Amino acid sequence: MFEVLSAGFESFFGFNQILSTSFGVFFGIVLGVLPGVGPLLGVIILTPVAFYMDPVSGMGMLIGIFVGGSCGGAISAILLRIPGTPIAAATLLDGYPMAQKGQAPEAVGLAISASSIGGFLGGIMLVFFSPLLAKVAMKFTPPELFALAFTGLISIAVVSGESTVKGLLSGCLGLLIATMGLDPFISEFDRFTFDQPNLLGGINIVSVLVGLFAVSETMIQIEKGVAELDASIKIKTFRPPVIYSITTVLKRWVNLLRSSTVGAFIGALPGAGAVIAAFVSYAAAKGSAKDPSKFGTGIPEGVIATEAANNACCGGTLIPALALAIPGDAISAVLLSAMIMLGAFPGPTLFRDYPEMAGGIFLAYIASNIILFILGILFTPFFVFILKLKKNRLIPIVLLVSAIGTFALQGSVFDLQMMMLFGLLGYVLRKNEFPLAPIIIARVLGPIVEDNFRRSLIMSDHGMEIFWSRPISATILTINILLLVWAFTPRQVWRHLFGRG
Amino acid sequence: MDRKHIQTILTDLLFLGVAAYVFYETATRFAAAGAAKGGALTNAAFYPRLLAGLMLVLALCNIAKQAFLSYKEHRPGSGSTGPDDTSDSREKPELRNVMLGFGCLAWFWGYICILEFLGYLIATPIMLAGILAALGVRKPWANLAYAAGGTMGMYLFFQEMLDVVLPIGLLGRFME
Repeated sequence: MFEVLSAGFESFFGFNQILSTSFGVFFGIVLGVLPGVGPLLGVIILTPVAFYMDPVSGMGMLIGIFVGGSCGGAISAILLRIPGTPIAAATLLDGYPMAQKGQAPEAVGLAISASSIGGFLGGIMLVFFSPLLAKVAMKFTPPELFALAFTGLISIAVVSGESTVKGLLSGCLGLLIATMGLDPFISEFDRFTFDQPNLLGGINIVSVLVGLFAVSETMIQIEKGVAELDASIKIKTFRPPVIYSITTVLKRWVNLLRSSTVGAFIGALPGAGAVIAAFVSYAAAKGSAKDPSKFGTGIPEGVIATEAANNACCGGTLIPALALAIPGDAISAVLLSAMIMLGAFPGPTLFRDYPEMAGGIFLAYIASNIILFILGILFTPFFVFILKLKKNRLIPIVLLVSAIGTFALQGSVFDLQMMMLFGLLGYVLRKNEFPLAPIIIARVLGPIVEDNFRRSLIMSDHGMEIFWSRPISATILTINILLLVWAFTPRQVWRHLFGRG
Repeated sequence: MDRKHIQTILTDLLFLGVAAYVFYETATRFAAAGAAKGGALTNAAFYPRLLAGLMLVLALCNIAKQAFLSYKEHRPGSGSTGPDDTSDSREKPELRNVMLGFGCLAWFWGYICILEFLGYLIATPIMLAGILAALGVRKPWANLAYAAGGTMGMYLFFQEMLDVVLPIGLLGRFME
């Protein structure tokens, strides 16, 4: 752990790295503030830009967006009762009533402070647990690695959206997209390339990402109507009280610690995510309060619980992502693909083979949370002003950044055509409530799944029993099967078996 | 059967189409190249076929589920009086906005097609001005200022700061 951190010190503490991380945090807060945008879109459209930076600066910028975006949504939730991101949905339960009582600056200050300290605590857990987990996973062989990657896919498909079948269908599509290009075992044999030389290396993951999320999002935003939101925004600018915010958060240290731990733990579970983390820690804070009836009336405890949890969740999400190469959500899948593009391979060997990168990511994450506090407090009037930005000015710029960013990676118009195709696909799937996150996670995990699946079959002389004869892979696969049984069994059956409740 | 279920079934058919294509491709081109038989080392078709098979089963399950749900909603005594009475959670956007979305996408796709020919500095302000006008920024000076500012901002960021070579197109060739 300490070797990784000391390697990270050398790679992170430079002017470019800190500047790009700060830019990421600032940009992340801006995107988080804007309703309907969020950190995922920011990470996606700036992934191609990261490719033009040194690896630690690039990852620092993307992690900064992740951290800043996870907090920015709280500002619009508190001021407008519109969570900028779903992550901030729980924050409005107490944040908006605080604003109605005339305590909007205090509520925003609390949200920023709790996010920053909660995220910092999540960072400590990340630094401590991910190398430990990687150490255990170093002993894994192809059957265990296959089972583990399979778990990441199953859990994200099972928990994403309302329908498990739709989640699994999206996951299968992502896995099939990952098979396009040259076969990993047979030299010079290409699969599903439609005789296109551009597809020999597979579909560029950035085209898939930007198309599915950014292009389809602009279509959905235009459909919602571009002028409607602006008329309702009448906000005074203000500055949150710094001392009050920090002291109020630190005085409630039990709540802060509990919420950060809950957030980091839930973040580490594939598919669970920050929304669940925020609501669970809100419920936990309410459950352990002396007077739970005060929750929802505008008290600092509610804001602290949700904001500390959702930012600690970012650190938790990165634990399996870095140590096992299992992304728990779409953002960590994008971060993993960015890492691979920047030349470092996530997974158990990351800490041994790329300690500068791993340590740089740790420090970028921790620094992002400190920067979040400084920029969040300093630029609050600007972020409040951003709420007045009209969507019809933003949409063309998002499209332009998406296109130029995708083009920049390989200087290829073919990538742009693929981006548009995936944009249409993303639009159709979203309109029919098929989740998109499993496609991205499957696209990232696909090569790992196939490689380890085929290696396992070669090891066992083409028998499937290898997955069941090894205790770790058998246990993981059994958990997967139980997860699927749980997901496919109608709720009425569970109620019948175990009674009400 | 109402619109919601029909749309979902059509999407399932898209997945079925992908699965069918995988089976067709592995049975023809893969087989001809000898990559559709043998062990895991030489069989490039086994894993995609496994996925396509799974996709086929899941898509058929979802079609059956949609048909069952539709039957349940419309059977006599269910309390439903027609398609409008179903619990459709999806937002129904105005047709005008849907058409606007597709129009903007088509305009943007056109931009991508002519980007290399016209070059970034000519094609981008035209694309931006068009989308801005479609989305309601109709004052000529505001529209032109945003379009030109956006183009130059991105040009400075990508070309000058990040050294990305943007398409030079007609203007670039003329300057050369």
